[in-house]
Amino acid sequence: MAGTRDYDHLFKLLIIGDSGVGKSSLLLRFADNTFSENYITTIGVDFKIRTMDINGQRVKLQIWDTAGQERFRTITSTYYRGTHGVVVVYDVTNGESFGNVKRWLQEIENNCDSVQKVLVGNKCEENERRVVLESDARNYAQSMNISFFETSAKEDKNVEPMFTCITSLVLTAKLANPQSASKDQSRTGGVSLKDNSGSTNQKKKCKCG
Amino acid sequence: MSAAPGTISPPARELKTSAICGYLHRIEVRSIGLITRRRYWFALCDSTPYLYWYKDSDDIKCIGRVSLSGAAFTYDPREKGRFEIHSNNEVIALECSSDKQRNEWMKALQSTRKRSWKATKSKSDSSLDISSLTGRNSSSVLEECSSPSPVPPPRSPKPKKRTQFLTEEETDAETSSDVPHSSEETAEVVEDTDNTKIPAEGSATEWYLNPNGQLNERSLQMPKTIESPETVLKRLADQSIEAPFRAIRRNLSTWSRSRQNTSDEPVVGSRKGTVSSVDLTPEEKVIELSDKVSSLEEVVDSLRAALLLAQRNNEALQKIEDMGDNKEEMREYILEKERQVTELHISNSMNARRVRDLEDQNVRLEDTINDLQQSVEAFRESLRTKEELILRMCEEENREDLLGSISERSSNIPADANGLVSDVEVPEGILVDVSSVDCEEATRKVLDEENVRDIGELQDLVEGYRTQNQFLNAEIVQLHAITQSLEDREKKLIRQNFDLEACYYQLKSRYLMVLNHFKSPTKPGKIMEPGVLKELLEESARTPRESQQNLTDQLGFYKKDDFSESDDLLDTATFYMKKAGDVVEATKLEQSEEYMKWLQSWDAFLVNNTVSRQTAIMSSPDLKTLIRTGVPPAYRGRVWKIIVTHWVKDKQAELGNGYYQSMLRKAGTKKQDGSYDAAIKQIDLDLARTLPTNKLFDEPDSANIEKLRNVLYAFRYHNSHVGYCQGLNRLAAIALLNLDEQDSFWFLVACVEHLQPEGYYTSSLIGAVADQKVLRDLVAEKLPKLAAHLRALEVDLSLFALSWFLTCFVDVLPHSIYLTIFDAFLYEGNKVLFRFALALFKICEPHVLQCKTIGTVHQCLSKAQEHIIDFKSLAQVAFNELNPFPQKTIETKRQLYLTQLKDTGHCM
Repeated sequence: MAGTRDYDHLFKLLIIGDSGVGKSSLLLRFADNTFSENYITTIGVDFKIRTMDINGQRVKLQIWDTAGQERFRTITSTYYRGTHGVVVVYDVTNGESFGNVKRWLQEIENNCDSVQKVLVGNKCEENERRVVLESDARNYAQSMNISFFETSAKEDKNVEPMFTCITSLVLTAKLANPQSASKDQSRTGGVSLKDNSGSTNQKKKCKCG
Repeated sequence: MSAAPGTISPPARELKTSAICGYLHRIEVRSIGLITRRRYWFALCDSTPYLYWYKDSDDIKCIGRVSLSGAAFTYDPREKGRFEIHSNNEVIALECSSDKQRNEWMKALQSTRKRSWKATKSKSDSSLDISSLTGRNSSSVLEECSSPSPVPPPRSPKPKKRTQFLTEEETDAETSSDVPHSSEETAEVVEDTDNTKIPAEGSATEWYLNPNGQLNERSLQMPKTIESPETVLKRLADQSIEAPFRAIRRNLSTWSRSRQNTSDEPVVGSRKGTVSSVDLTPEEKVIELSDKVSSLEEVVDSLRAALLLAQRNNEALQKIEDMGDNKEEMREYILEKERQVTELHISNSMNARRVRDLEDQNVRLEDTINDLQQSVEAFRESLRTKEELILRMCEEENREDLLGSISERSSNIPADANGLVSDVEVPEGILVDVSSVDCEEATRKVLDEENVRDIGELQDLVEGYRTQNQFLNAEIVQLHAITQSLEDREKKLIRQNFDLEACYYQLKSRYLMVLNHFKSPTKPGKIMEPGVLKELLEESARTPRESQQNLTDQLGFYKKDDFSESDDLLDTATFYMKKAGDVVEATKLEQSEEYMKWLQSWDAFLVNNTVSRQTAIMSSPDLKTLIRTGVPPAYRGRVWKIIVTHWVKDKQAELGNGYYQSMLRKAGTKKQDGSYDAAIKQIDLDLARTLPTNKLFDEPDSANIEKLRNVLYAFRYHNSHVGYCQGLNRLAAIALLNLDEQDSFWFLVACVEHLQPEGYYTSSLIGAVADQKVLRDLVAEKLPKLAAHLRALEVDLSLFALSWFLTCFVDVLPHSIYLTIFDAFLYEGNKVLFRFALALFKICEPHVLQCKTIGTVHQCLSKAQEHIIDFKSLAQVAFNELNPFPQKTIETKRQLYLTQLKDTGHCM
């Protein structure tokens, strides 16, 4: 089966964060290398695909963009299933969005067993309106033991490195843990019904606990 | 005078409008001669110049209609409640239950005709602006034609002539001893004049316009050949050899003329000249010199004209050299201009057609006026007859007076007899007197009663005729005004047509000249006017810029023009050709009979709904069928308002007028308090992210952003349970494209609280989530192959369909399609969303089945709009191919899933 595919690994990334921080802009910059001032609100979920090379291996990324308004969390929670990496985005000009990062990280813990994370401060080109200091965010990321980037989707700063980082983290974790790799394969491929039901049961248990 | 049978509802007159409705009888005369009286519901409102009639008061389909523009109304007061409408050679006879009701209808009809005529007049005035712009353009073109082209500085050969001019000026100051020398120079100059006269004459015929600005008779002829400067120079070189001999001859001939000598022999002339020079007196010398001066002045003028012509020839030669390199470009420009000529021709034909239509209207109006005049004539004859009757009745009264006086005399006689008899038999005399008096009084009473009755009837009749007279006078005045307006408009159109024809012929002649030149490029003599090509190029460059001003459509959505401003003329030509094709196709569609019937159906519905306001209309199956075909853009605002009001009228009555304003004040107060509100914050964040493809919403300072904020703020405080949910911004924005601010607010209320099920936009979105499960079941039922395929790929439909349902497909499909979906959604509610979602899946099914991965499925469904050709095909699938589509099944499934979600605490 591997021979018939045009990639070595298929990873699912999720972009979460408050509404209006630039999640869709980041996705558009990374997937299509474009930026537009005219965005519409994301309702539900949006979805883009891009393939990249990491250390000689071809990795195909499914990147899911989510709605940021709070009432959509009950919807987006279903999209965490099978996720390998999560990009948590805040806006450096919006202190509230950084304050909510804690809740988003908690959301990840509630929905995912084991997932790679990266913290992203977007709109770093708006120096005059900055309210979140880079040092504060970096310290917080270190304390939470996750990677940190400041990006500008508008001016294409640090977007590619950020996605490269999260993808590398996911790839490294997969290579280091072959057993979870087989589980991931079964999840994405849907080959074994038994494994699916097993994972479903496990999830239910975790939520009950 | 028979009363109309059955119950007749009184006309419902609305405030501030001439809207009127009611049951009337229509009287029709069949070909056999039978007269039928049928009862219909008639409706007239101020938004359309048509009178409609329906079978019943709650119908939306009309039995028929009649145009009131240019119609004439008349009635006969002897026929109770009956009147006629004359329109387009058709006579419609109607009958009311009373004369009073008839008068009301007549006034309403006249008022409608007057209003429609004013509207037409304002339209024609606006078209006048267009024609005046055309007039300016044509006049500017004429000015450009008439103005001479700038003269370039002279070349090196010219200074020679200038030197000659200076020499000639010096001649005047020199003494007579130098006369022979100056004579030689004069002869040389005269030779030049003769040579250049021919091209001067030729160039005169090249001008299209006379000094008056009218087309020259020769404007379409090819110009005469113009000699090139090189030829002229050659001739000058040749003349240098022959100059002395010719100079001598000219000199002698001049002298002989001054003497008025008729001799032609050179020898004789020479001798006389010599002799006369010796004998000339000083006075005679002065005369000779003045003659020479005047002739020299003429020569100078000719030379100047020749100089100008030569310079133009040089310019033409330069143009020819330039054109030699760019012949292909010139052909392309010529083709472009030829198309413009064709377009002018088409518009000319259209104007001619318009003139013809107006003439037809005039003919019809004249017929109507003739009919009216005949009616007036008949009325006058009736009046004359009635006056004669009245005169006769007066004469009869006089006779009665005579009888009265006679009876008085007879009464006197019995009095005398009574006196005489009283002496003999008193009782007998008294009895006789009393009886005679009673008879006389009885006779008088009978006559008086008859008179009174006749006079009463006559007075009623006179009053009726007087009313009719007033009405007909008003009718004649109005029709005369209409006729006058039509004549004025006709004159303006004729003038406009003449202007267009002038422009057309002017352009045609220019392009014919250019084409003729290119047809025979080898002919050396054919040279075009230097400025013509320059002007044509400027015109061709001028035209496209104007069309680029329209970047948005009527609703404000930006148009996707594929035209990139490339310098390649072929690409430009192809683009405009395609654009013209689109315009022609759209025009054909709008003028098709099917489209006109569709518009008429909507007009009929709006008239009856507006006027009679029957609640039964809104639940008519005919209305449902009509709405499923979509609402015409011109009617969408009014229809949406009617439907929204239908849904929220109870709530509006409960909450009272000014509720929207009070909600806005509440929002303002809350904002001033500075209290934190997540919903308000989210609204402010989403304003700039609503309908980015529309000019009214694409910038923070766009026209509708403030209105959108107001509507969403008001709704947030109207419905705190929902507050604000992303997706409502799109619904409110769509409303603002067709409704005013307050109605848009009620539109949002209708959508959230009446058309969508419970809990659709609340903090848990439980209603929307339940519907996604219902949709999954319906897809499995209606499209089993697709469902199996998606299940195999582990694709969750709600990835795509949730936003469809929350926004009613806004920004999911092209706006021309989702607006039409909104028409059905507003009327039928949430069920329609399932129909269209399934239709989308069905149309995309062949493509989705070929997808192997979730990514490609997502790409395919994200671009679902690429597979949608138009609304008609989508609606065909949604409302026909997917049937049966029971509402109860959806409702049952929804309740089931709602219960499940609530039991599990809405955690999946």
